[in-house]
Amino acid sequence: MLIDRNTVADALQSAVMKAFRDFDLYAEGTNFRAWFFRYVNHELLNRNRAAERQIATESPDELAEVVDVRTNERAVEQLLDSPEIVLDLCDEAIAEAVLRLPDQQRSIFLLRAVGEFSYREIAEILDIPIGTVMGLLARARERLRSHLWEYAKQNRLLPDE
Amino acid sequence: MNCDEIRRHWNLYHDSEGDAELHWQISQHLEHCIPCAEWFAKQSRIEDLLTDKLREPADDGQVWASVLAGAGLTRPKLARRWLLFSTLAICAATLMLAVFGPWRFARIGEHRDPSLSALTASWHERLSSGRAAIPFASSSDSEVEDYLRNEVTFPVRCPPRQDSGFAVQGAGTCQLGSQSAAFVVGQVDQTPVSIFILSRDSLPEFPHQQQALRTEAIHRCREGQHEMALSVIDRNLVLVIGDVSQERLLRVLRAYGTYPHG
Repeated sequence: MLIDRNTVADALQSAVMKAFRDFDLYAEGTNFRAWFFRYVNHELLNRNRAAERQIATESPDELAEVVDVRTNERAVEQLLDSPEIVLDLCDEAIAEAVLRLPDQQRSIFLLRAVGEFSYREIAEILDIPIGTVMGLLARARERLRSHLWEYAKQNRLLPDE
Repeated sequence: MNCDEIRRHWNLYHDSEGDAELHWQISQHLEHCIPCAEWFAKQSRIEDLLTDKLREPADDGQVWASVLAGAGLTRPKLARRWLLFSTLAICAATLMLAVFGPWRFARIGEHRDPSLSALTASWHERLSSGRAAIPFASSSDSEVEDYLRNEVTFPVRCPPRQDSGFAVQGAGTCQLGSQSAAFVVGQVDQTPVSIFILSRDSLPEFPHQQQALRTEAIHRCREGQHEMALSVIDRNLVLVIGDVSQERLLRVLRAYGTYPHG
């Protein structure tokens, strides 16, 4: 979620201080995790804006990749048949695949996979419609699988077709 | 709904989102459509494995301590502030996993925490579907025991059918992480069940299971659609897995422990 990982502590500290400052605005009984993560998300967005000038963001190539994901569906089946073989051996590829996701897809995927937030909570945190969360999460998952399949194929981790 | 429509809703079903009516319709479809049930299981399996990888704990203690210290959050004075303080800690753990999780994988070669349940579930699926060969086929528990004694260095046995309801079909050996393991395959109520047997000395390789077995004699869990029961019995770490009820698995596990090693 944060492009420059060296600023994790700073970003967190800033988010905590702002949430602490605004704590009187928090309505008791409502979802505190989602409320707090809005501050974290705003902080990360602000910091990423500065950092993203140095890093290529979503390009036309990436959009084309989405189409490839769909046409690759049969190939990705190989990955689904023996996922342990690949996932046990490609930690680096997982990290790279997550990093290569477009910002919003990456945020949604991580909030769901790691934070275990519901779609509604993610929509609140990112301030986007719940339908967008559903669509982008599905797309993020497709992209990750496609990327892992490509990695596995290149490194001969999967049996030949 | 037809198969295509059902599959389009996998994300919602997997994430327990959407309304109850949708989930009921999908469940009904999966009960009667084996290809879709298998497709759903595969999708969920890779997602669960990926999620497990991403959730592996990051070493975030120092960072979080510095965050709290830097923010001036020491001991809150007001009761209401305790809510903020304690919940922030929970949020922070989640956030640190989200922030650090993907990047820590780049450090290949460092400590790994293989999931015994995922590894055995994979083997069970391959063995029960015929995608992995069973090196020794026999319906005799004593023959299976004799075979395995020559294959692995640790003691191993096969639970007798009259005690366990387990109809043995064969056995073999495999690698679970870096550990050698024996497996015994068979059926309980005509449903494939596998027993994985390791040396109890291998337990530290699987920290999650080790932690669980510190507090319970038998650890029960679920991996994908498979039920599992795990215990340390004599000099073995024994895991029984199959798509049968936990009671059936426990019966097999207890039968394994009925007779001491010779």
